[in-house]
Amino acid sequence: MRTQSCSGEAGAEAEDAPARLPWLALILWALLAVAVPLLSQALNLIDVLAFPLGYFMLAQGALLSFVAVGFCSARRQDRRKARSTTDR
Amino acid sequence: MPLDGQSMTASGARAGWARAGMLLASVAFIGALLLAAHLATPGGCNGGAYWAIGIVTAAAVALAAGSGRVAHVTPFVGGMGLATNVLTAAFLLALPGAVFALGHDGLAYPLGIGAGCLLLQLLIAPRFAQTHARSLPQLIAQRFPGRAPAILCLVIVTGSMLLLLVAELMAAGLVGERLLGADLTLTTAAAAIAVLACFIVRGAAGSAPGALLYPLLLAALLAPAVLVSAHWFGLPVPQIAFANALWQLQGMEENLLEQDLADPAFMKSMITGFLTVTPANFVGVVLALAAGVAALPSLISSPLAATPARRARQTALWALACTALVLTLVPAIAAYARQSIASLIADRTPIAELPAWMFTYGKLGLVQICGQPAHDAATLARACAALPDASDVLRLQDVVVSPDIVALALPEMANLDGVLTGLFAIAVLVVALVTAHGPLSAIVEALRLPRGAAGNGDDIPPATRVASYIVAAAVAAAAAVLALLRPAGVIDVATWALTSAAAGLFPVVVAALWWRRANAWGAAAGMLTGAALPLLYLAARQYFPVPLYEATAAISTAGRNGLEYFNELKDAWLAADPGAAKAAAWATLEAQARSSADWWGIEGPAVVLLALPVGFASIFLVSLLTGGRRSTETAP
Repeated sequence: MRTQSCSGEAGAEAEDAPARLPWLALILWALLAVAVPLLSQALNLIDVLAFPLGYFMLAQGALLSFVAVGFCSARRQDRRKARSTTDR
Repeated sequence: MPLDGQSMTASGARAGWARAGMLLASVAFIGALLLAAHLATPGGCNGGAYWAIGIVTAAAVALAAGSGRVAHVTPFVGGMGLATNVLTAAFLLALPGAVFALGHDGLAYPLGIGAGCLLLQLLIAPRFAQTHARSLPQLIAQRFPGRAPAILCLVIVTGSMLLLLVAELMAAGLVGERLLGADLTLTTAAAAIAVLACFIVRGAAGSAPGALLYPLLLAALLAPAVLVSAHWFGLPVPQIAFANALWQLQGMEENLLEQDLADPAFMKSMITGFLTVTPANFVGVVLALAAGVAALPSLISSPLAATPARRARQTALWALACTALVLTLVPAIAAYARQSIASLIADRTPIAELPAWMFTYGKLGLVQICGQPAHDAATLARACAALPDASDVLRLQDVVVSPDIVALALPEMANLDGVLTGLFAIAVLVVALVTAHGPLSAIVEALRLPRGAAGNGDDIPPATRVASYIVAAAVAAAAAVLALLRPAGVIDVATWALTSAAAGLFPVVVAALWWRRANAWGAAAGMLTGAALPLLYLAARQYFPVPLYEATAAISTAGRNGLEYFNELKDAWLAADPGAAKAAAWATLEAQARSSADWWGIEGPAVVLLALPVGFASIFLVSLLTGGRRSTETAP
């Protein structure tokens, strides 16, 4: 989706292209923050690292996944920006 | 990039000496308080030393931040600073206690904070960095000019930041009380004075000084957790080793139930979920904390301000990683504390042989046994014998440990060196005093006053500077008074601070950064409805439950049976004779209405499930309806 900058000076925007909405990362965020807690009791039927999976996801898994999503999203956005700079 | 975009000029040397003088005066005053406390409580010397170290460390950090010249803040350093400001002393102290007290359902707190850090990275940080605003109030003023958005922003920022400051002072006061054995009033007042002194000395320096504290808070939390993991399970990785504690605890609690040493109503399972809250309310707490962190005025400033989007994104990513590392320790600490107490009960420990830490905290009213503060064994024995269902041995429900002290007391619970308690106390104290700068300066910023005296302070007229100090002093005093009233636990106050930021500010911040057609009317409507709806809902449930339930019975979880019962009670009230009988019937009716008047079962911080959609919808609809009138005015 193409989004437009809401504010900022024209010169600055030329140097620093406006950030775009990371839809995929936001969907993953919603899954981890909303869907995982709602499904935690069902996930508890599976064990991982001696933890019930639902509990593990709430205690640690979701937090580690947040970091992974943040890392991948940042890399993707940086790569996209590098590509657009090269194109210009 | 200069720290906070500003650096101190050479001509500011005189002002620097003045600030150093003020700092020394504050330290001397606090030292006098410390001496008084020590003289009043002989034997509190070690604790007093830790407390003094904490105060001096906070003062040194503030002085270094206010007068030092920091050429560059890397994303890693900025991220550590942000992480410290996300966690704050309140969450650092109280998060393990929340999981300890609520079991599985307490995991909503660390999960919500982690989710908020990711949301900050994805939605807020990169765009905010491109706006050239230096704070959230500046962003709102820049994007939505006009009096209504500014006033609403000021009110919401003041409310949420005041609550956060209250939570910080509660944490600092509680730690001071434990270390000094002094009265809570004294330690909270000393903390408030130290916060104000740090604010004056530190001035406009951003959250980067928090980076100095992240290693301290991580070490303070990690050291006892690693030692307990290594001693109890032979594996010095608490994030993995505590699986053993979970299973042992579950087996132990089942045995306690079989032996009639625990009341099932009192036990909150660590693994089985939704015993204390519904799934919807659990998700509501997660969303409240997540949106609150993402829109927290004390975070939306340096080092995310006026920097390339890439750098802001990386800074937020490091903040997320640093925060997540701390948050993964929280369930382990809670499980170890629970296991320690369950072991005492399972071993049928006599009251006279209870560990010393129980009496230490009991004297502060933070551990209760058989309904009495644990002052001494003889009093407790009498209290337990006087219970209606008295037992020969202690039961799990007889021992009530305040969730606020669980993390602080873990080294003592696990018989570790007392230095670890001192280290954790120092970390909480320093983080409280240093990170309280964020809420305080956000309020001052919302009033469009300069933040303290550093940075380009020489350009600030003295009258304006004095006004900013007076506002900060008034806010610190109000926060200290509220902290002394102890309206709730530390975790609850901190959570409500984030909830109010989420409800009032999150929709408008997202709209300001991502929707070009949002205008000042829409922003004002979004802030007003987002902040007012939760307040009205909670106030109506508390003070006008009967009319609220009658008007909204269709969306209550009480269902048809609840409505029938309510109607029966109402008929009984109408038929009752005037006087005591009618008053009693009304009290019964009101109590029933209060328990039933819930919209879709939403309670507590989960009220953001109502506020966020209403806030976003208000911004959308009002902006579209009034677009013709104000869009040119609010366009960038």
